[in-house]
Amino acid sequence: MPEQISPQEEVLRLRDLLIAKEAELGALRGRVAELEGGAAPLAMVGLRLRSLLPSRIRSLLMRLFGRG
Amino acid sequence: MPLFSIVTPVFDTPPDVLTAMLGSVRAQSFEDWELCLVDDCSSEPHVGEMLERAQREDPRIKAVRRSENGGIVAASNDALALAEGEFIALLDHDDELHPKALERVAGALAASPEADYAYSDEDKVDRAGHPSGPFFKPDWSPERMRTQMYTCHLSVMRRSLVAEVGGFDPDFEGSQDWDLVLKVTERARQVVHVPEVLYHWRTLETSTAGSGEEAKPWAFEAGTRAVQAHCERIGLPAEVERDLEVPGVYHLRPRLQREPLVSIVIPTAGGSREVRFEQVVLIEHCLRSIVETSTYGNYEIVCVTDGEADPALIDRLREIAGERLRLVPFEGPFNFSAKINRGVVHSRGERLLLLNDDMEVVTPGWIERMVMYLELEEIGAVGGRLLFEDGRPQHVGILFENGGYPGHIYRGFSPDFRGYSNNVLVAQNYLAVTAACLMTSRQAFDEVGGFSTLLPNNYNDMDFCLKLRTTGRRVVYDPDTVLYHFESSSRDSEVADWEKQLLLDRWLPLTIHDPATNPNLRHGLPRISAGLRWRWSSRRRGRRKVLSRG
Repeated sequence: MPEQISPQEEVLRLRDLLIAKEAELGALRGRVAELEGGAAPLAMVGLRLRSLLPSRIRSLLMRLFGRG
Repeated sequence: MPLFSIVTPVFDTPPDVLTAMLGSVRAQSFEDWELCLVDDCSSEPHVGEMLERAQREDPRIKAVRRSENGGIVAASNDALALAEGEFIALLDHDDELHPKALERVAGALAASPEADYAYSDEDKVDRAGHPSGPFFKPDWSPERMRTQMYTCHLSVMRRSLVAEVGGFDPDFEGSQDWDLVLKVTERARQVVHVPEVLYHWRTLETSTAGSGEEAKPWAFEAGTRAVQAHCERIGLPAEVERDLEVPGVYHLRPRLQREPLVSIVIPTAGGSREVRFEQVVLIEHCLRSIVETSTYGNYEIVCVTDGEADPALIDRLREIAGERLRLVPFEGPFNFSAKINRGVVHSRGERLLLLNDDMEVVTPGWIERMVMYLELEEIGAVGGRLLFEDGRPQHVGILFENGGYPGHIYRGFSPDFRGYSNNVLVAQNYLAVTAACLMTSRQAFDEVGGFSTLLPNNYNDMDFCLKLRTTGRRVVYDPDTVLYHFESSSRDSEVADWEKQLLLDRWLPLTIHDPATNPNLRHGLPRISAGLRWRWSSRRRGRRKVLSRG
C-alpha cells in the first residue's frame, strides 16, 4: 500500500524540488557561460585564420569539401 | 595615497632580524606601499640608527620614535596614525614578508572589490632563517575564529574600517591583533583568503611563535577576553575559556538566555547490535543515554518507527523517556529523508535535533551547545564530534575533495589526534556535517524543504546542508559536542552511482572548491607536493643569506 503523506510533507517535498531545480539550473547556466567563454577565443582564431587565407585558396578548399 | 600601509611597532629588535624585516619589505615586487615604523623607545641604540638610515634610503619608509615605552598597542596605534594607505598590513618587527606578498594580496583585493579583510597562509623561520611549520589555512571561518586566532599573519584590512573600530584596543594588549580582526570582520563586507605562504613568523625565545604560552602568558588571557567581548557584541550566548593543555585553543561554554523547545527526531527500525560486549536495542540504548546524560530541560523525543513497532519495545521506551516521547509510524520502503520529514512534521520544537538511533551521548551539555550556536540567525546547522566505540574519530567534519564528493576527515585516526593545526579541537565551518547528529532550526528546515526524499539513503544530509548554504547560512562543526556513533549498524552505507551523480548535478559549482580546506591540503593534511614546493620556494628566497649578512 503506498505511503500517505501529509500536506506539510508535500510542501517540504515541493520546496526541496524548487531549490534543487534552481541549483541545477544555476549549475547549467554556469557551465554554458564557461563553455561560451572558452569558445569565444576559438571563434576569434577561426575568423583570423579565415581572413589570412587568400580568397582563391579558400574557394578551392570549399569546392573540394563540397560546400561551394 | 599608497595601496598598502605596512604597520610595524619596533622595540629592541636584534640588528640581523631588523635588517631582514626591512629587507623583506623593500624587496616587494609590488611597489605601491609605505612602511610605518614606530620605535617604542628602544634601549638598544642600533634600532634608532637603523630606522633613520632606512628612512633616508627609501622615501616610502616613515619612522618615528616614542619618547617613552608604551607597549605594543600604543606603538601600533602611533604607527596607524602615520598610515595613509587604503589598506593596513600588519608586520611584526622580527618577521618577514614573502617578496610577492603585497602583489598577491593586491591581486586578491582587485578581484574582490568589496573585501575589507584579507589574510594569507604563513610559516615560521628561526633566527638562522630555517623555515618550518607552514600553516595552510581554510577560507574564512567565523566560527573557527572564535576558538583559534587562525588567520594571524599576514593580515590586511581596510584602513577606514580600522579607524571605525578605533584601532588597537589597549584592553587586549598581547591579543590586540585578534581583537582588531574580530572587530573588523564583524563589519567586513567580504573576507578574502590568499592560499599562499606570504608571511614568515620568526620563532625567537621571546616570541609567541617560538615558545607559545610561556613567552607571553598574558596574551592568552587577553585572547579569552577579546573573544568574550566579541561574543557579547554579536549576541552569542557563550562564555569563553582557554584550553589549559593546548595553547591557542579556546572553548565556548553555553550561557543560554532562554531554552527553546528542542525536538529530537530519531528514525529507527528497532535494530540491535553489540555495544561494549553486550547486545543492546539501539533506540533503547540511545534514549537512555539522552535521558540520563542530558542537562537540557526543554526537549521532546520523536521516534519515527517502521510501521507498528513491537509493543514491548514501546513500553520500554515509554519507561525510559516518559512524557517526552512521541511515536510516529512510517510505512513503506526505507527512506531516511522521508522519515526525518515525517518526524519533523509531527514535532513541535523551535529547534530540531536529528539523530541516528545508534548514538550514545557523551557531553552532558550537548543540547545546550548546539542551541547556543543556533542563537545566531546565520547558523543553519550544527554537527558534533562523533566517535567510534573505541574512541577513534568517526565524524569531525566533512570535506568535498574528490571532484565534489564528500568524505569524512580523520576518520579512524588515533583518539588523541588533534588534527592539522588543532582543527579537531576547534570549531570550524564546513559545507556539510553528518545528520547522524545535526541540529537545525525549524525555520531553516522548512525554508529549504527539509530532507530530499529523492535521496532516500545517502547524501541527503550533504544535500540538506548545501541547501542551507544557498540561503546564506553557515554550517558548524562543534568539537565539544561529543557522542559515540556505533556506525553502519543503522543502514547500508554503500553509495550508488546515481546518488553521486545527483549530488554533482545539484552542487558541483559549490563543492568543487571546498572553502573548509586549502589547495595544499588533502584529506585535511598537507600534500607531499605542497610540502616540497614550499621547501623549494623557501630555499629560493635565500633568507639565510640575508640573515648571515646582518
